[in-house]
Amino acid sequence: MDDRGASEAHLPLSQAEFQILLSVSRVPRHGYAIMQEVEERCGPRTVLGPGTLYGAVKRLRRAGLIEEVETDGRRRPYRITALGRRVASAEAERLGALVRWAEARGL
Amino acid sequence: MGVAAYALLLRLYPGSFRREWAGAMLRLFARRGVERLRRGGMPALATWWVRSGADLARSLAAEWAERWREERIGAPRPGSLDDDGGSTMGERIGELFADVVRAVRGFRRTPLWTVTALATLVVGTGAVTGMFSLVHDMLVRPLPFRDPEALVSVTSEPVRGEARRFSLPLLETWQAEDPGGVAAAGYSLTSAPLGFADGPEYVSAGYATGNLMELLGVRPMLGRPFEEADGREGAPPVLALAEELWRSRFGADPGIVGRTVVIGSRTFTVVAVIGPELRILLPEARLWISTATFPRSPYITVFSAVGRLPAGTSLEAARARLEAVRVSDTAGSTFSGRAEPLRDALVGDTRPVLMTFLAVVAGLLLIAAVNLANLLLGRAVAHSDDQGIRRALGATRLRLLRGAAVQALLLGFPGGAAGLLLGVWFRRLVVAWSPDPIPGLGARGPGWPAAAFALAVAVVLSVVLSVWATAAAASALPAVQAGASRRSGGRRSSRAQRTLSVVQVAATFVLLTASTLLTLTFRRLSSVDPGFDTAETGGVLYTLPTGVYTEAGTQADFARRLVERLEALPGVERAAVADRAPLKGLARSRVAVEGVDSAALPEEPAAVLDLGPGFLQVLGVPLVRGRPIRPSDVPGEPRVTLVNEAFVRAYLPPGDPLGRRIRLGGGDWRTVVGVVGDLRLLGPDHPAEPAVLEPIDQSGSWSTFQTVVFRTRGRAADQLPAVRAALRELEPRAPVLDLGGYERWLRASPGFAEARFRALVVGVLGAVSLLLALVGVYGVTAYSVRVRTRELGIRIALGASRLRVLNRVLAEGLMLAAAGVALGAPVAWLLLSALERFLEGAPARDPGAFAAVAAGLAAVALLASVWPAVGASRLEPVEVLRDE
Repeated sequence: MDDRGASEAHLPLSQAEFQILLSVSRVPRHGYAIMQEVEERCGPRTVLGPGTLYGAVKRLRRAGLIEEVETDGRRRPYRITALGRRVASAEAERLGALVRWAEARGL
Repeated sequence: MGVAAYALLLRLYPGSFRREWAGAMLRLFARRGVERLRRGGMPALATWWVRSGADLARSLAAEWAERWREERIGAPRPGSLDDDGGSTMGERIGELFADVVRAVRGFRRTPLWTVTALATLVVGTGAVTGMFSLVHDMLVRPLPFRDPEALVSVTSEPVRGEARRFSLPLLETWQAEDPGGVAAAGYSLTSAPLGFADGPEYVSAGYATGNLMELLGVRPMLGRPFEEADGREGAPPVLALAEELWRSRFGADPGIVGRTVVIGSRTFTVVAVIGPELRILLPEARLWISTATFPRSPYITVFSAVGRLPAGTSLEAARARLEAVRVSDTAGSTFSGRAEPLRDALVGDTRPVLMTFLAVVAGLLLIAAVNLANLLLGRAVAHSDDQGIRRALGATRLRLLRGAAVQALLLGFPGGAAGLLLGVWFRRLVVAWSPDPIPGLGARGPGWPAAAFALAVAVVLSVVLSVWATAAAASALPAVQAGASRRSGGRRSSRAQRTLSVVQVAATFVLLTASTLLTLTFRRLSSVDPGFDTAETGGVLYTLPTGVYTEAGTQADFARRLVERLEALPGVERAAVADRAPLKGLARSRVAVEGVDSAALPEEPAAVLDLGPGFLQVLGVPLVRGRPIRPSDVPGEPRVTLVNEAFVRAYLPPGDPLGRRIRLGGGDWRTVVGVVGDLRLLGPDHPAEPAVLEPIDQSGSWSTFQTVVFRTRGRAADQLPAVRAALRELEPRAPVLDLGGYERWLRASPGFAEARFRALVVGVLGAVSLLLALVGVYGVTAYSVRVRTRELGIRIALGASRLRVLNRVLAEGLMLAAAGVALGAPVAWLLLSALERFLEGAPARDPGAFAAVAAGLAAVALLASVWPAVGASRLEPVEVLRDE
């Protein structure tokens, strides 16, 4: 399986999964920081609840799209992996295509 | 607090998830909470909690679903494949929750199935709950009176099996002459012209002797109960409003007590507002008035009596004492009492009716249960691939059954709740349909027992059937052959389904036959000729005010003036007086025939009716021989009488009846001058009995209680207001006891109304059972077509004509019906003889009815299989085989 195939096998991502990937794409963030960042970026209506958040974190980590950063504290920051980056950009492309398709139909 | 609760909820997650993530989730929940509180105060915090709750629910379902998926595909997980034994309490609850989510999703995927299953459950539960609560209230629930066990209904000794009521003087004399015996109070239904600002309005009211409320222990909501002195003749008239009337017509005025209200020509003081207790005695009464104004006439025998046994007296002792009492009133009737427990008297003849209804409803529940079992089995088999795989991968059977039980509870609780609502409604319907005297006890609302009963029935039914269906489906297929199950297991369970369906059709057959028999009885009664015209005839029963028409001849004179007045109305053709009207009570007397040994005459007394001239023409009673009553038949002239044909047959020796002389009781001899057609004086369900019809002027039985019958131009119902107005104009103080057209009176006569009631209730239940059977047969044939899609496809591919496939499926539906009828007919043969008491002499084992129901069921089965059959005949073999 080539890279592209490997990334596309993870698509489509759930809303929460995609948000988390975006949130940790530049700097590592722990759970609470992810929640805050998503809220700042998208408004209070998109607050991720604890269950949704950590459920998605669990799946992303298991799939190797994010990984933990070693720290000495109790908090565990996560950062995006190379695979995660490819999957995120594939998802962005997929969504972008959808948006363009919709725009082309005057929506 | 929120954090602790959240921590507790986190225990619901699967262990693997919880161990790793619960801590982080809790911290996040708490930290965000603190922040929300700081920024937005309590509302913001509360919003967060609500949001987190919803998030938790969604995420729980997702995590459990994921874990089950892992189990199924055998993803590596610590511990054994099925470590239910080691799971914590929280995990179990969480898993249960996930089971719930899974079941709800399943229901939503198959809306038609879900609606059908729920409807079946609701209908079965509703019918049985409504009837159960009614029966419970009537037979078990204590009456809402003080020490209800000591209450009895007292009647004067029965004549021809019918209890007699009291006149007020008789009741008062008895009470005065037997102190220390059974204390009795009287009550009677009347219609009271209640004066409002916009004119008088007639409302149903109860006359109550002064001691009634005290004797029963009725406590008014406002004011004081009636007292002994209130009922005495000439006491200041008082009344008590029932709560309903107080609210609807008096604006729930809290200061109503002490106000005055005009009824007819008299002014009553309101002394109380009372609750619903007295509706048990008279369901219709919206207010109660004291007997202070009631005429003390021995001829007005309208009072029912309720008694209280003295403390320490047994029913037997009280009965013995009552039977020993001999009291006479001025009219010469002697009283010797009978007593039975009040509840028994109120329930009376309705007990067998209720029991019949209960049996019918149980039958309906059986049908619904079979239907539900069928539906569940079909669903369990349809899901058996999925279950087979899960079992093959190690999910215990217990675990699968738990899923089934959860699904069942999700059907059972809403089904039970909706069934309760339907039951309450059904019960109301039954009470509304029922003629007197059912509603008395049923007038109370359903209580907790009904609610508990409904839930228990629905939940137990759905759980037992669901678990059974799952187990049956699971054992029908070896776990490993999951893939092959469609055919082998499907066949086996569809045999079980067919058996269920046959049982259902059989039960439906019994129910439908019962309702057919009752409907036929009702229709037969409605076509019975009562012996007089009913369409354009009516009557008015009224009493003259006391103390006014006392001089000789004034009562007769008033009746004659009313007849003239009515005949002057444009809508009235003719009117006539009588001492009482047909269907409105009956007087009887022993009759002697001149020259005939009294031992040779019937033991039963004959009916006696006293008539004015024109009565026969008004009611259209045919004169068979001789002459009618003439205005010249007055005192001083030779005494004459008419008799009916039944009397001629039963009393008179062969030969010409005209000129025979007869005598009533110990009276004078009178000559038979005419013979009239037979009359059903008590209603269409009673035989036309021997009757003597005397000229009222000669018999002199005038009283303040009078009856005038009239023949109208056009429907009688349209002329009633004019009749009422004419009476009011002539004597505004004369209360109308009853006014109606004979068409309605005939329908309201007890035998007729009860037959209609039974036919209606059982008919509705029968119709519902038929509907369930339709669903059941459809379900089975549709399912059998589905599991045999492959076989049918191959048949078509091999050249079987589509018509033949169609016929095959239709035949299958018909076979179900035939087997059901074959099973149901002998059961109906055995059971339905219990109905004979309601059939007015017709046989319960009526081959015609049996055949008609069988044909009807066959038609319904055919109808139910048409859709699946057409579907089967349109199968495209190529597609069918490709799908396999």
